[in-house]
This record gives sequence, C-alpha cells and structure tokens, in this order.
Amino acid sequence: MEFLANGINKIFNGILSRYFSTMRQKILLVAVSGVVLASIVYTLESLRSEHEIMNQEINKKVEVVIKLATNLGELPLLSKNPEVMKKTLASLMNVADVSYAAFYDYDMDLLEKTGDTPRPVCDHPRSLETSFMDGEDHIDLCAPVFTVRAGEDIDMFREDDTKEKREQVGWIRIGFSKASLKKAQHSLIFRGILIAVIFTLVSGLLIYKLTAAATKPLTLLSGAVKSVRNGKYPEVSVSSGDEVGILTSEFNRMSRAINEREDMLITRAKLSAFVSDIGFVLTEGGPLQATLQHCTDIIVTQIDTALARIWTFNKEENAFELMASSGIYGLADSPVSRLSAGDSTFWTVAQKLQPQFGNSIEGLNAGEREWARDKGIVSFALYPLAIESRLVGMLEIFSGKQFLEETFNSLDTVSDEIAIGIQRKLAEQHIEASLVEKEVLLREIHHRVKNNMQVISSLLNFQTRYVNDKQFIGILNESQNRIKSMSLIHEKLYRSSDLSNIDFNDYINSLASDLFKFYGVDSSRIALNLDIGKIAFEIDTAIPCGLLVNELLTNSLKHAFPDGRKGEIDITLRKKEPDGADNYELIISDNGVGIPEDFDISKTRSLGLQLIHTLTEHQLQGRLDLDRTNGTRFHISFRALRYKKRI
Amino acid sequence: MLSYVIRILLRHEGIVLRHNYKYFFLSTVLIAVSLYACPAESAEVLIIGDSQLKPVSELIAGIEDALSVTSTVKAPADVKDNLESIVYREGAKAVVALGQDAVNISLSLPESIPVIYALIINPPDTARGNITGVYMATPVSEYMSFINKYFPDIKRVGIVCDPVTRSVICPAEHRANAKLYDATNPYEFISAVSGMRGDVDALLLLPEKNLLSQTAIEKAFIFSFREKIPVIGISEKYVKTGSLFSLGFNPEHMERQIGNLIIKVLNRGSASGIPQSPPERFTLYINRKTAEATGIRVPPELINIAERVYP
Repeated sequence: MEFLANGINKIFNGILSRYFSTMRQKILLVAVSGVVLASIVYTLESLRSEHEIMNQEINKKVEVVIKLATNLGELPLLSKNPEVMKKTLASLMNVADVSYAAFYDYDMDLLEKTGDTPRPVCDHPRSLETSFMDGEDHIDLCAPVFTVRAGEDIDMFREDDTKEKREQVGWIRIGFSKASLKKAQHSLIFRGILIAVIFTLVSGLLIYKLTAAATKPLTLLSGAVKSVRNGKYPEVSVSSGDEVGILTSEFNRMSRAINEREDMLITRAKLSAFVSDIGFVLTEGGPLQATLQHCTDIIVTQIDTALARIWTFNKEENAFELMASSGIYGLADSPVSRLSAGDSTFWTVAQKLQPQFGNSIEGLNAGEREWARDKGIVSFALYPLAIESRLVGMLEIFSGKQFLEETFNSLDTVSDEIAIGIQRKLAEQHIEASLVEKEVLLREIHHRVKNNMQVISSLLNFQTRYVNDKQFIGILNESQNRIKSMSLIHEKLYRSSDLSNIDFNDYINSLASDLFKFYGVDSSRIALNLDIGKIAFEIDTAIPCGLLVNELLTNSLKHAFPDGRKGEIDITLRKKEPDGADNYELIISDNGVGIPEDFDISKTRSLGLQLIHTLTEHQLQGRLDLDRTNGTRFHISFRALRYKKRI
Repeated sequence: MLSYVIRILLRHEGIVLRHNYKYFFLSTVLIAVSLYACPAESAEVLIIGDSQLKPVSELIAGIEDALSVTSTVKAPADVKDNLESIVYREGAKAVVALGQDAVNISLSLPESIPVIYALIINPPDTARGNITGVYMATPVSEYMSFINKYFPDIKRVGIVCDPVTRSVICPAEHRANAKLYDATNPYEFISAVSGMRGDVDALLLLPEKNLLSQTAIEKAFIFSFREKIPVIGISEKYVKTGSLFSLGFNPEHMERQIGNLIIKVLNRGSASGIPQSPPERFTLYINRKTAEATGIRVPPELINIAERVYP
C-alpha cells in the first residue's frame, strides 16, 4: 500500500513538475481535477438517485395502474362481455405509457386485447401476486383480478369476525412502454451532464479567478525574480501583510538597493566614459576651436546640460574669447563672444582660480539669476581652466537638472583635461607653424640646388659654343645631361608633397622626354616603353638610380640604332617581390645593334659605362647583368638605400 | 346436569315452570332416567358447525342452552367424509347443520336422519326430505309491508335476483310494488342497477352471494346516492355503510326458534312436515344520513323502535 502511494505521488509530482511549472498551474490542476472528479461523482450519484427515484415513481405508477386495472377488470371479467372488456381496456390505454392491455380468463386464455401486444400468449406465472417481465421496449405486467364475496352466508348479516372471500376471476395484462422512460432517462443524463459541465466550467473559472488572485503576489514576485536574471530589478506592489507580502517587501527593498547601486555605477560609468571621451577628443588632431566645440557637444549630450561653453583667456587683452558653445546657444548665435574684465561670477572664479558650482542659482549675481530663471536653469558650474596657476580659459555649464556630486567631480576632472588640451593644442599649433616654416626652407634649398645645377648645365652648354671638337662637345653634353638628371631630382623633390620621396615614374618620364628631345630622337623611330610601378625613392637612391637611367638610355639612344634604324627601348622598374619590399630591379633594354661580344663593361674606358658600373656596385651596392642575345639588355638588381643621418 | 337442564328450562321455558309443575317434574325424571340409561359418549343431537366462527359458536351455545337433551358439536371438516357413521356411533336422533358447509355435508345423510339447518341465507335447493330449518333471509314480504307502512313515498321497489333462486327468495305473492331485474353475476347486477334509473324509488338488496360482490355493492351504493334511490337491506352491516334500513334476523330469537324446532323434531322423530321458515322476529337498523341524502323521511317512531340508528 505504501509502495502504491509512493508511486502515485511520484507520478503526480512528476507530471506536476514536468508540465505545470507555476504554482498557479499546479493549484489549478489540483483544484480543477478535484472539481471535475467531484462533479463526475456528484453527477453519477445524482443520475443514480434520480434513476432510482424515477424507477420508484414508475413502480408507483405501475402499482396504481395495476390496482386501477384490477379494480376495473373485475366486472368485465365477471361479465365476460367483449364490449365491456374493450371499453375497460380502452380506458386503460388512456393512461400514459400504457401501450397495450389484455384480459385473460382464469386459465390464462386470451379474452380481449388492445394495443400492440407483443405476444398474445401470457407467459407469466400463475401467481396471486402481480408479476412483471422487463422487456427491451416494454414492462409487461400481469395481475390476477379478484372479486370479493361474502365468505360465509352469515357474513352478509354480521360484520364482526367475517371472512370475505376473494375469488379470482381472471387476469389482466398491461404493457408499459419504455419510450417515455428512456426519453426521461436520456433527458436526465443530458441534464446531468450539462449541469456537470456547467458546474465544472463555472467552478473552473471561479477557481482560476481565486487562484489568480491568490497567486498574483507570487506570480508578480516570480516575474520580478525572472527580471533580476535579465539584469532588471523591478519593484512589486505589496497587496497583503502575510508571508508573501513580507517577502515582497524585502524583495522590493533589495531591488531598490540594487537599483540605487546600479544607477550609481551606471552614472559613474557614464561619467567615466564622459571624461574618457573628452580626453580622447582632446588628444585627437584638429584645430583648437573644433576640438573644444566637440567637447561642449559631449558635455551637453552626456551630462544633459542646457548650456556648455569654453572660453580661452587672452592674457594680452585681459579678455575671454568664446571658443565653443553647445546647448541653448551655439557658437554662431551666442549673444556674447568676448568677455572683458568685469564684476561677475565668471570673473570672480577666473581671478580666484577656484571653481564655483551648485545645484542652485543663488551663487550667481542678480542679472545672471534672472537669466537663469528665464531659461529654467537650476544648477551651474564654473571651472577655471588653468595650468600651474596660469589661466588659459573657463568652462561654463548651466543645467535645468540637479547635478550629482560625482558629476561635479567629473566636470572638475574634465576642466583639468580641457585646460591641458588647450595648452597642448596651442603647443601643437606652434610646432606645426615651425614645421611649415622648415619645409618652406627645404623646398627653397632644393629649388636653389636645382637652379644652381641648371646654371652649371647652362654654363656647360655655353662652353660647347666655344669648343669645336665634337668629342669634347659630346663629353660636355653628356656632363650637361648628367647634371640635368640630378637637377631633375631636386626639382621633383621640391615639387613633391613630402620633400623626401621622388615619384620615379614621373621622374623617368620627364628624364626620358628630355633625353629624347636632347638627342633629337623621334618617338616614331625609337619607341620608348616604360613599365614602372608606383615607386618612390629617397634622394640617396634616386640620384644614382636616375644617373643609371640617364647613362643607359643615353647609351641606347646614341649607339643602338645607328643610321636611322628603328627600334624600341624598354625601361622596367619594379619591386622584386620574392626578395622583399626594399629590393628592386631596373631593366633597360633595346632591340638595337647590341654591344660587341668582346666588349667587357668592367674594363671599358667609357666614362658612361664606368659610371654605370660604379653607380651599380658602389653607390647602390647592386648587381649588373648584361644580356646581348637580342640587342642589349641591362639588368640591375639593387636595394633601396635608407636615409643616413649626416649630422 | 339436572340442575343445568332446570336452569335452561327456567330461562327458556318459563311458561312450563309457571303452569305445569307436575309435567315439569315428570319430564325431569324421564330425562334423568334416559340420561342414566344412555352411554356416556352418546348424544341425541349432533351439531355440525364451525365453532371458530363467532355467530356459529354463539348459536351453538344458545341451542345447547335451549335443549334438554344431550348434544355434541363437530366441525364440518371433521365429519365431511364420515358423517353418517358418526351419527350412528353417537346415536344422534337429529343433526343440526349450521352454515352452508354443514348443510351441504348433511344433505348426504340418509333421509331417515332428520336434519335441522340454520345460518344459511336461503332454504337449500334439495329434494331430500326429512329436513327443516330456519334460513336467514328476510322475506321480501316483510320488507314490502314495512315499506308500505313506514315509507309510503316509496312506491316502486327494484329487486335484482338470480332467476334460479327467484321463486324461493322472492315468491310471486310478495312481488307487489316490486320490479324484478335478472342478474347472474355481479356485473349483471350492476348493469341491472344502472338500468333502474327512473324506474324505481328504492333498491331492495337480497342476500344473493353470487350477485353481491364487494364491487357490486359499492356500485350499488354509488348509484343510490347519485340517483337518490335508497338502498334497502340486507343487514346492520349494510346500513352502516349506506343502506337506508334493514330488517335483520334477531339472533336470540333465532336461537329459541331453532331450539324449539329441534325439540319438535326430536319429539316427532322426523322433520318431515315441519316447514322451513324464515326468522320470526327482526331487528331494525336505520341510517339517518342516508335518508337525508336520498330525500327520504324517516318516521319518528322508527327511530324509537330501531335497534340502532346510524350514524
């Protein structure tokens, strides 16, 4: 028995836990189950009782009808008159639910019948009591009919101690239809079920409402606890003073404390982020005014102030100039953009270098208070922006809300940051101005070097007019071109944006164009094919590399295509990817007549080729390869040189 | 025994004691001698009757008191099959049959044995001789003369009777002012009663067992009150339940009447020639409410002479 009880408990608890998670659902399940069970039991019991009552009523009715029938049947059976019997049977048929009736004589031979008698032969036992057979559609009853006579002759004269003689005169058989009984039973069942269903529904609804009302505090508390899991700490209304109410009150107290701490942490985090953002803005590049405007924007946005302004102090003019303003006034529409010395809270703070702030406007002078009231201002903060007691500006804040102490502290920190930021920005402006000045000077130097080289080149050109020896003229011209190639380097440098790198594509284009012009070569006769990537060299690499291009291109123009031969010159400069970022290869080739096989570049006395050898191996510390299979092809591998400090 | 006989004689035959002391003395002596000569178990009169029934036991007591001879009482069931041998064994000179069963059994006796009956309604329908007795049915003539005398407004009296017994119960000479209806069973009785509507002023019930079932009687009373036609007869029992009046036999007088009859038979040694007779005296019972309900005026003197007035 105990095992069975435990099993039922386990199953019940298992179902409850598995499918009904809340207390309300469990209570509802148990209560509604109980109501349904009670309703079923009550309905079945009611049906049984009413069925029993109905049977009793039917039995009473049958008894009455049988009694009536036996009384009415006495005379017809005594008379044996068919008409009388028919009349009597007809009267019995008028009784509700009587479907047939018949008279039988003492020997149970049928005398008369009416209605739909199932079997004319009466199967009932010959009993002195009423017998009945319960059929499918009828209750078949058969009752003996008696007549009462005086038992003794003397009985007709004497009343006392008489013996009346009951003499059976026949039988009467009556069939009661079950149709109305079945109809009544069906109606009874339907009504019972309907009442049970209505009762169950109404009870279920009431239980639901009661359960909902009873478990509402628990449900609210449960929902609040779930919210805690999601990081929210709501408060639940306390509707009673019971244990649940006490628990709810304690929960509310806990939620309040956590919320306050969380709000504090959030505020601190916001203020920390605010200070950090201001600091980040101040360390960014850009003009001072834009930076300070960004700062006031952040102050208005993150501290939720009505007006934030930053003034810089002009010591020479003893005046503050408005550098940034956000909130109700922008920088452009600010009614005041310059503050000279005067009698105001602002100047008092500036002179004392002591911040003034508060969640009240009482600290302001009368005019300022009127303005503050007009704008709905309830708190203000004025911070002097100073570096080591040197005033650089003022931070001015007005708000329509009360400030926390932490906010004032953060604004104090921010004011220091802004002061430092202003100081740094001013220093940066100074450095930038100095850099510009130096850049201008450097460009001027490169320009002057280029001009000097141009002068030298012009002098050499001028010298050629006084020389008749063509070889000497050629030497001068080559020197002139070498100077031009170096001059072109300086020109490209002072024209470049950063003064340190020369765009070599642009440089070789210019150089090649100049050489083609100098040697009067038509590009339709000798085509120049350049394949130069986006490569820039510093001046230490650019000058030897430029001289190499100058020498090799000059060599091709002068010697590769004699007698007006046509051809092509290819110049390729590219990075050698497998070898690394700083390794390059310069390939200058032509499909001209080529260099004789017995020509040794390392032993030649040609200045140009010696220069090529020297520049490659000594200046660029590269390698020179010569390919003579199809014209001439110089392949120079080198590493870009790093700038070396010379001072 | 002697004193017992004397006491009876003193009670019932006061005339004898008062007028003929000698005759009384001789008779006493003769009886004493005869009693002494008889065997101890013998009885001159054998009474057959169910002494369990009160009317029977009362009548037996009355008869025994009235008789100066020995008698013995037997139940009908005890003598049903051997009545004759019992009669001879007892040496009975006469058989007194009380009630229908007893009469039926007694009719089987040889005619040599006289039979005196009582407590049956009408004279038995038998061809057997040597039989006499007192039946209980009040003659129709008694009722008719009583009605004529005291209820002159009742001109026509309806009577329902079995055609078989009509001549016995209601002989033709008694049918003046009477209208007869035939019926053989209670249903026909009721039908006959229903058919009396407007034809009669009163319904006289005759003690016909075959006709008067309980239902038939109830129907008759319903008809009576509905049609304001009073039912008359049969006995106090019927008056009590709605009959206007009845003339029933007087039990005490009937005891004497039967006692005398027995003595007469014993004296003559036979019942032949002694007529069967109705009761000689009657007792009047009246129901005043029925009279009121049916609109019948009851003469005041009847109230005085009535044995009992209901309610």
